[in-house]
Amino acid sequence: MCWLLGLCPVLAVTTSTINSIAISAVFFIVLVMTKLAMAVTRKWTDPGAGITVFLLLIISSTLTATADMGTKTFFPDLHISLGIYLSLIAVNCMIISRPNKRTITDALKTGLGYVVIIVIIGIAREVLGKGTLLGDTILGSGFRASPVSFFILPSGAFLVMAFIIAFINSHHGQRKLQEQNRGKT
Amino acid sequence: MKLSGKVIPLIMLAAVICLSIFVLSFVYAFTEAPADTAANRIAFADLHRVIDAYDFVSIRPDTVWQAVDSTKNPVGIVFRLFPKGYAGKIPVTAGIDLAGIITGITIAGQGEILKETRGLGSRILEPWFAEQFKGKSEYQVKLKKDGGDIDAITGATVSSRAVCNGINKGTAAFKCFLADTTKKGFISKVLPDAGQTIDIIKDTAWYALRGCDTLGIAFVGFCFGYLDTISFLVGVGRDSNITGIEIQQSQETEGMGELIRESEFLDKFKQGKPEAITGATISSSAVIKAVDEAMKRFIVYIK
Repeated sequence: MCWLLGLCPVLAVTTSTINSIAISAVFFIVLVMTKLAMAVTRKWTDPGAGITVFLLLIISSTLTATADMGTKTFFPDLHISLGIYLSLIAVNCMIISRPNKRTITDALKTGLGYVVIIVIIGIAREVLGKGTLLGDTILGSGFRASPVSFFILPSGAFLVMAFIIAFINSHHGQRKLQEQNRGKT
Repeated sequence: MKLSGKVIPLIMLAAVICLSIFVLSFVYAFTEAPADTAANRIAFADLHRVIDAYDFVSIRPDTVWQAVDSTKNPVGIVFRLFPKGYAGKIPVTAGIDLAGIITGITIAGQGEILKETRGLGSRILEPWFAEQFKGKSEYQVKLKKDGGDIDAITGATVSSRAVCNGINKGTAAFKCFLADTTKKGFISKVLPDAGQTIDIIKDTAWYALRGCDTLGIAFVGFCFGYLDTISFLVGVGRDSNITGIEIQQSQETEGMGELIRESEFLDKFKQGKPEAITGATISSSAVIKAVDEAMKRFIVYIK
């Protein structure tokens, strides 16, 4: 059973490994800092659920805007490649914050999971779709002459995601089997 | 108090909002300048390819830039135009140095698409086509079949011509930005209304402009008179007629050769019929002959 949330950057940005690493790193930082900020202010805001949503909105937007400006200054090439999807991190942050339990370890786990999956998709798309990894060519020139450019297109991203979902489902399936077996014995 | 339970979250919210505003403004102020220079460095990569310069100053956003060297002296301009080709607009970036000579062009640079027919018009992207523009003056930038020096791509005449036209238009429109802002005031003595000048040949010939309009050219020349060298300054308008002439230096005989300084003699140049002065034949004919030769040499710049 998987949650498929925050998929927009997956399609557009994971075309190369370095982009995937960049966006997932920024997302991770923003997510963790949002959780920290929310934890700090939770003491005073529990009663009103409406206020919590507002706070989440403001905090995640501010942090994303800060990350955006920081990237523009220190990594201008990355900023151009990531473009608008850097700002979308604000939305993903808010979406992912809601179903989670509001603890920081949860944020760390979700963030790291996101990083791992995005980077895997990025690697798969770059290696199969272009024949390079982090810009260095690793597959032979024969492959690079006509790589499987299907993977560069969004449909390729979906295919890679499908494999990942299948893998996770099978992993959960095995665990369920184990629990049932334990129950039987 | 029943109210405090509701008020405190609101105060908290207000506090967070204020804090966010502060943080964002601070980060923006801190990063704006370095972000701009970083972005410029990438955007200017294209410009660096057409002219050899240290930095660029935007004169008109995204259209004209002034190229400067490390001591902030202008070394030329770069402009970007989109002349209409066969199937759409062709992005052309061209660099011109202070003498009006093209330093290089790029067709459809980074991130720009060329809509011309693949295999025909798109062949203007071949490196040799852009290379041949280097070192040409604006009067040579025409297809060979139009009287210029540029080889068109076989089968892509329209596209090639469009590039030439674009460069010509750009040069004509933006040449004024090449002007040397240190005013050569003396030129207005022979070309009234002249404001700025552009060097054609250093210390010898200049374009005279007012604003962005070329009024004409001005040049200095020398000849050997009866006793010593005579130097003169001539202004020629766009209609190839002399607008003014002034003798700058002469050491001829008083009352005879020195009469070349008189307006009676000089005005005849403006009418196109210079006449030698009786009694000062050597000095005046020397001047007439030298002015004539200089005219032949520099008239090409006015066409």
